Amino acid sequence: MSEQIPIVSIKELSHKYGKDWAIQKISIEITTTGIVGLLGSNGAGKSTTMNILCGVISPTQGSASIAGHDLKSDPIEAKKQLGFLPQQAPLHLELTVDEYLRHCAQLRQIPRNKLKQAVERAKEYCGVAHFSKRLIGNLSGGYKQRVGIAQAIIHEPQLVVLDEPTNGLDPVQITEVRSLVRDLGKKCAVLLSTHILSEVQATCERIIMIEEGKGIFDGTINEFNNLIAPSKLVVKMSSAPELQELEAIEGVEAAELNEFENVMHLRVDPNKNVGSSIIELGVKNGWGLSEVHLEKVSLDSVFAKLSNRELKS
Amino acid sequence: MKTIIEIARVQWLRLVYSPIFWLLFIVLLIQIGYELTNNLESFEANTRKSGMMPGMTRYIYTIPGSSAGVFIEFAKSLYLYIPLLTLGLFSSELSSGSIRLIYSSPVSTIQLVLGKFFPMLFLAFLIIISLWIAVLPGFYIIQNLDTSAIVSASIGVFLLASAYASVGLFLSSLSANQIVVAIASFVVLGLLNFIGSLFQTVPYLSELAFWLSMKDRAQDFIYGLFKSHNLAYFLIIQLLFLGLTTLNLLFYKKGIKPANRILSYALFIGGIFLLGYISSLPSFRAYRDFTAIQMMSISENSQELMSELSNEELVITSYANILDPNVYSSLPNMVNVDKRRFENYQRFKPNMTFKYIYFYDTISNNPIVFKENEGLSLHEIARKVAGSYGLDFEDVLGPSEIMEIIDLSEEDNQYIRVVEHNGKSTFLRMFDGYQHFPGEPQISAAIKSLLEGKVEVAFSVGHGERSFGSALAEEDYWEEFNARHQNNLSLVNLGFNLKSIKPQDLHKNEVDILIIADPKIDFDSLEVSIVLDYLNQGGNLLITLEEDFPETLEPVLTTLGVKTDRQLIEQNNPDLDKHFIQAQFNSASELVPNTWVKEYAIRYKTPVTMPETIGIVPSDSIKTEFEIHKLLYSSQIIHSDTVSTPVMLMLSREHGEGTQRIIVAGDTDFLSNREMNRRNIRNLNGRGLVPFLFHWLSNGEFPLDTAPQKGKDIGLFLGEGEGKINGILKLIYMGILPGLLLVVGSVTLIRRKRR
Repeated sequence: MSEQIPIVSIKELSHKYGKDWAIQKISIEITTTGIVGLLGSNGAGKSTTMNILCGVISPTQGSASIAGHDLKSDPIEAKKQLGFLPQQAPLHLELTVDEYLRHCAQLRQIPRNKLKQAVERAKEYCGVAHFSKRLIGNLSGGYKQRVGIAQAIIHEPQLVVLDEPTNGLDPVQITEVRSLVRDLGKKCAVLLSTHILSEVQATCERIIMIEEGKGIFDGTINEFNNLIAPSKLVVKMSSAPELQELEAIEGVEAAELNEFENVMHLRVDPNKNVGSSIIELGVKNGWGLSEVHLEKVSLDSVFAKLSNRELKS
Repeated sequence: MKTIIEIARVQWLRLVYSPIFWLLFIVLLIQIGYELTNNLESFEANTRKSGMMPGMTRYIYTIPGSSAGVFIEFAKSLYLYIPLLTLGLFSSELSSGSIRLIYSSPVSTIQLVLGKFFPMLFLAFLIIISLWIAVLPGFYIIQNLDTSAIVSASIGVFLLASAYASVGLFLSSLSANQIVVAIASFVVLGLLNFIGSLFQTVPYLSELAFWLSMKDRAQDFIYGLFKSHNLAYFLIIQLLFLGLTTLNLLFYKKGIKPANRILSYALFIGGIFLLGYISSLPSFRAYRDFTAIQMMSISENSQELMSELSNEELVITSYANILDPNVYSSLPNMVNVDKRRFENYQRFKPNMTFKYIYFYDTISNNPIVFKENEGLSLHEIARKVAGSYGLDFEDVLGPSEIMEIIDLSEEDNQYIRVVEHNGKSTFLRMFDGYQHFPGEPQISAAIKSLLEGKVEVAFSVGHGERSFGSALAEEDYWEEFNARHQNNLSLVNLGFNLKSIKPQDLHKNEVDILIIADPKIDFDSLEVSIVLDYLNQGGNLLITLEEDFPETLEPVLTTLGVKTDRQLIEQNNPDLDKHFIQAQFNSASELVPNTWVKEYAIRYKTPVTMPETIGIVPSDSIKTEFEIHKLLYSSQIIHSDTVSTPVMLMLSREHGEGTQRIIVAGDTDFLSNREMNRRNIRNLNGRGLVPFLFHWLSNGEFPLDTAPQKGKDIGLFLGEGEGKINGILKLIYMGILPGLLLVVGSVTLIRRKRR
């Protein structure tokens, strides 16, 4: 049985601008369809990685291939399997949607007899069919972004790279575009670059994180979420005891009353089973216990931890 | 190719849907219309005044002048149009980020660059179409329009536009800021036109800078002359800038080290320059004159001469006295320009070598330099002048050093060239005044004299005759005979060698033309017999007489079969002295070739002024072998009858293997310095009359007939519409067509914007 050819294979990829390394020895492999989030703070090296993957720049060291075609030695074939939507959609505002998509289809070497079909399909898929004759420059931001996505998928590539596709859109448009991206992930591999964590949560199945030019995380969204063990317990009681009584329980390091929500926040030792102790004591002492759960760790915390930064709040 | 066409198609769409495109074509049409109608207006007036003029195609469309040709004038302003259309080619895509669409598509950088460039070629083609709209009326108003010359001009404008476009394309790839690109485009195009005058004193770099210069390259095409090295230049320049664009985009992608980038650029540019150098080597050059009358080539006679030269190289050495005010044209920074003056010859003789030798010595034509530096020695003055020219004084030879090479004292040490071939050499002089450089008559005469020797003209002396030696004596024959640096049409510059001779030293083998001009003292019998022997042996003669010429010369006239009554002819114009004759050409002088002098004399009835003249007529009583033609005659009233009396006869007879030719004139002053410089009465004297007479006397050997053919494209053929046509054309070209374009452009853009 032959080995499956990965859709994306990045090996030891390094690139430097002048004397400074933008990325160093990054390796990524994507073998299946689905959405992969490429996370990183500004200047982390996301754009450099994507620009290399999309053929905009050539790497200083290492290799990248798409569907088995090396971008350096076989860029034409590699790019046939690539769709790219940069942060600023590469649109020709003076063309109509049809003219533009036809141009994109031609550039992607779609055979002449399949050209019209490809344009119609991309328009339908991205919901811009009713704007076929409209000048792109006259479209709203959301529809421009849809046209941008349409150009990226018009040739049905195996890999679509989206660079912050919801940037600058209003909430409704963001929802629409995210929905489109989720659909896209069912058909091909999508590499979604963003620094918006909620977007990752809303769309991605896998996360790759880059910081200071180096890959620091590659795993599923759950793995990412569970990267930091929860350390806070939220307890709701109708007749809560004094804080000192709670702090005396083994494993509780500090207790705090949130008067607004009328709940207790307990900072606990994650290695001790404090939850059971609370329930046991609550029943025994009649604290009117109605809710006990671990406070979920935010992605922001994980992001901050991985990028060695402290959250401000 | 499909990808290139697709990129080009969309680029073209983007261009057409920009207002600047329509605006520029409206301005372009108005400019072309203005040039055309302005020229037509000017030449319409000339046609009414002077009749149909030949060469109208060139005047209206291709050559510069007070009403410059449409193509040449448009080419001058092309640099204003092209950058405005090219500045957005890449920079708009770089600034909007849409370039990433191409980068992420299966498109190579070369495909991208060509895809962007092809629409510019189509644009250049549209410009040519616009120019041809201005050519259309030419088919109606000019008979025999020289279309091949216009095709050549079109190729020139096309090549210039495409070269400009390639420069614009490259600069557009350098910056996302379109204002920066526009300014850079104007600067670079200006530099490309100007660079030929830079670094001209630096060895090797001067050649390179001169080759890079775009100035005059398109001009040759527009004038109608195809030069393979000019075509190669335009193609190489386009290759250079397209290549630089490609490299620039590749380097943008690859982030290559600056040192490697510089090396790559240097290798590429070096390769291109090498290609340019090879293409411009004289032996690789090819030419084609597209004008119907071969206007851009040396005459067929000159071409024939060049073909007669052996394979030995033709060397032209310029001896440049740095104290000569005319030396500037041979200074190191002008050497490349100077060499071009011989390109029309080098075209037929590639192995020509040019040498430049700088020296200083006393000179009479620059009194100012000596006056301004009074008190300084010649050496000190020369050092100062050399410094002002930027010359290394070490490279300037002193008087004794130049003397070891060549003695130029008889030439007043003036700036002069020496043409050498096969061990023979001759001078090629520079001239004071308007016609500074030797033209085809002088250059061809020099080359012909190397091949066949000069015509030996001997002035008889010893009897008070006129001499050719003095510029100061009004009656002497210096101006049109021996004014070496003052008159390019002096015989001495047209292949004739002048000398003085006593009749007793006269030998037919050593003299081609004998001149006996106004002898005052009798010839003795020996001298007469020697002159008669000379004539009997077939010698050519110009004899000019006054009413008191020596009796002893009568036998000469008798031998020739002519006579004179020694009576001064009187004319009846009360405004002039009664003996001041304005002799007219005999329109039936078939012996005289149809040079412009003859045409000028006959068509415009321009006289030859003769202060006093006697009639010279064929003798009825003497039988002669000579065929006699009356070249000049004067009308006089005798007994109230108007009688035409010949005042100059041309005699010819077959003798041996050739033709003997003799001119007998009843006046001596018409060839004098005074009459040659007469400006108060319209006359032919100083307008090439002498070269004309000596061309006949020398059996057509010298001066060589280098006159261009007459064009058949005459006009303006205005017919019934005369006077109205230009008004209509003005309305069409400056009103209707631009208006139509404005409407079509506005509708297109507004409809587009509404989508």
